[in-house]
Amino acid sequence: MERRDATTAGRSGASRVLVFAVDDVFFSLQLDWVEAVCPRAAVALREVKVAGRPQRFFVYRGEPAFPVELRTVFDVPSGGRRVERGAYLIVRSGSYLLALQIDACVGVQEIDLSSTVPIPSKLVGDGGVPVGHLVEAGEEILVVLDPHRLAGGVARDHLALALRAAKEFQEREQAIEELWTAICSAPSVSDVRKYARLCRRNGHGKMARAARVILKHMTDCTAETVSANGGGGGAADQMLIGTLVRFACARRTGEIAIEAGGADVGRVVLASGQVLAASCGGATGRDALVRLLALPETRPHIIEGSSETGCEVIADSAIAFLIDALASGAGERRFRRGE
Amino acid sequence: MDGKPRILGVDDSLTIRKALELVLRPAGYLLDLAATGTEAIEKARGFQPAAILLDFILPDMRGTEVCRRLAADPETAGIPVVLISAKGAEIRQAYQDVKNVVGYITKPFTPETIIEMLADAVKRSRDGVLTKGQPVPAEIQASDQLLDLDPAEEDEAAAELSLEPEPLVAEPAPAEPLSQWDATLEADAGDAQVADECDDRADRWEDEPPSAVEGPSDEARRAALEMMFETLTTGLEGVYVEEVDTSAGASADEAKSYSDLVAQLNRQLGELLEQTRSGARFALCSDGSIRSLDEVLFDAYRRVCRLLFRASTAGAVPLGIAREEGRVLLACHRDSELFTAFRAVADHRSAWRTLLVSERFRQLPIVTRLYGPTHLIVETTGSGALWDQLRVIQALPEWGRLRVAAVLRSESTRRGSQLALPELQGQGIDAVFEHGPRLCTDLLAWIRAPMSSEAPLASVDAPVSAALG
Repeated sequence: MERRDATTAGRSGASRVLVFAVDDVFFSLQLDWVEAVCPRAAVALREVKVAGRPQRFFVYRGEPAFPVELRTVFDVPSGGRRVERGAYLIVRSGSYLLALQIDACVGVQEIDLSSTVPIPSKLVGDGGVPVGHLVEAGEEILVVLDPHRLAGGVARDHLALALRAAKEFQEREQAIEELWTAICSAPSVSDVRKYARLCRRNGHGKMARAARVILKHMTDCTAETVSANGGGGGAADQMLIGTLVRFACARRTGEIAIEAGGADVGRVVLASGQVLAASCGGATGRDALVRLLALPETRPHIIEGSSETGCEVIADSAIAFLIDALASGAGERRFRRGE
Repeated sequence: MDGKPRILGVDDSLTIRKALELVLRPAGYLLDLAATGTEAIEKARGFQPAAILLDFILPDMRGTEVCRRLAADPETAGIPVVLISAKGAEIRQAYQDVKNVVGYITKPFTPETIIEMLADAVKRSRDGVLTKGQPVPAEIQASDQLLDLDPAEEDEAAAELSLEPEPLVAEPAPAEPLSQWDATLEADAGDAQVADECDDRADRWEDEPPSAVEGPSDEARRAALEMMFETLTTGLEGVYVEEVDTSAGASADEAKSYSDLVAQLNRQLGELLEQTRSGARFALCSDGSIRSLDEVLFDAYRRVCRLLFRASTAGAVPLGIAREEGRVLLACHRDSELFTAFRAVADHRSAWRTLLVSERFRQLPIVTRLYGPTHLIVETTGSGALWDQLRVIQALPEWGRLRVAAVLRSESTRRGSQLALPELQGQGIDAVFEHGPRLCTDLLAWIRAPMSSEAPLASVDAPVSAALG
């Protein structure tokens, strides 16, 4: 395909288009409609439910962009496999940003239809208007797409719902961020509850489950007095978490010795709800605490009167740390069993 | 009379008649005009012009017939005639055969050419000698200074069509008013001021020649135009302006049949196309600008598109190229021996559209979906990338209404007849061809064949040397 220097654009009659390839078809879009081209690896895809169906999207400059596979749009079978292409071409189509999945960008080219006859596509959009035109450019066929015809009436209705759902998703993400900040500084039962709920709704399942585990212990704290030796009952797996949560909620200062299989396996030092230090085998600090949480059948003992000062603080909020540790996998086995 | 030579200009094209006015009146000639052969003969008898500029093709008779009738009448036998035509060969023959033809000019012509030729003819008329002059070869005439007018000045109907061009799918745009230049032409085309302006423009042009333009418009554009005209002419029969286009403010007393408008535009475009074919590259437009003929032609094309759009929105004709006979999609390896024949089919000027895919066959399913071909012609080996994509196409909704022809390479024919044909039979392929000198002709005949006349697929035992569809 003949390519011209983009700097020659602007001559009367010629139009600058971005040419891209999908399954060896050269498509083009008028440059004004093109927002960006994003490599697939650089995009964090999210998912919302729209009318019971999952709808993926990602956020481009604060606006949801919805991936579109042209093969699907044109109803061309893809052999049952999910098509994953190298990049997304973000194009504005009416009120929506569509992220066309493309194999490659061919380049910017000028086309001037005064020297050729565009063939309207037989595939039409709303009102029987072609979704694009085919143009013979040398030995190649170039499909000049009309971005506003890519989505028909039904698809636009779906996109309207998806856009609303995506924006609500973004608002929830914002709220989750704010709640996490609050949990990290001054955790409260209501914040953790909201956090668990919003995480569940936005598909952060692990965080939601971890938060619910911690929330359960926090709720128990309000009804019970922390016994001198761990108290509170419950499953053995939950005893360390429960003890830590109670300590944190009561903003107590002290040291907890953890036994497993009759042997002392580690210690955790807390001060006014902060985790000051931890040790487990040869590990110390955060790693030690994560390993302790992962151990089965642990039994915590509070060592009254013991305190340490001058240590580096591992976590400002034991609650936040526990949620994070449970969700990040170290506590995955444990909290699954605990649930 | 003031002693100026009186010339009779005969041409059925208003464009050419106005061009003659713009050239000859400033050059000191009195000009009378006629649009038909009969009118020309009557006027020649009436006022005995010093010379006649005669178009070779007229609506009622050929220019040679006009010449013979003039020669047969003693009153007009001595009038020298200069023939004007785009048909170089025929006009040369007439120049040799007909006595009173003293010269000929092939279109496109320059002002200088016509003035020079006319001065010579007038001199012969005065001298009473009707000998042949020196014709101007077409190669010399086809210079940059071609004289033509924009078809938009033709009349009010054309003005209706001189709307801002829009593609087929665009929304209607507001109508353009007649340009000042159009108004001037209509008021008094022979006004000296107009002639001066024309001369000024010619001078300016000599100083600043227009930028280089592309060559004549391609065959596909002409084919598309002809298809659209056919659609419009047929679809708009009996539809009037006010029925179709109330937004243009057409009132009942000004209303003209859309068929008339289309016929006029068709004629104008026919002239433009004729000039393009004869090698013209520039035209003097009604607004005084000198534009490439291609550009003028494309403007006219867009007017047709626009008219088609309006007509379709009014329901007078279906949107799109409704009269399109078919869309042919060809797929063949570029390095194949079949490529030349496939290319020839793709380039064949016809009422159907053609697209040729010669590499990267993975694009075929999507192109098929978008292009919506009625005929698919594929080089077939029974395996490979092209064959794989053919299988994907079979799953498309288009497959059911698609006529498919398989073409076998000659060296693979024998193998194909044993291996590929049984498979082809099960693939819904309508016809099988093999490579040979008549391949292009056979394919064109197969495309032209009515959809109903489907022939059976070749059996495994039958020879595959002929088109079966």
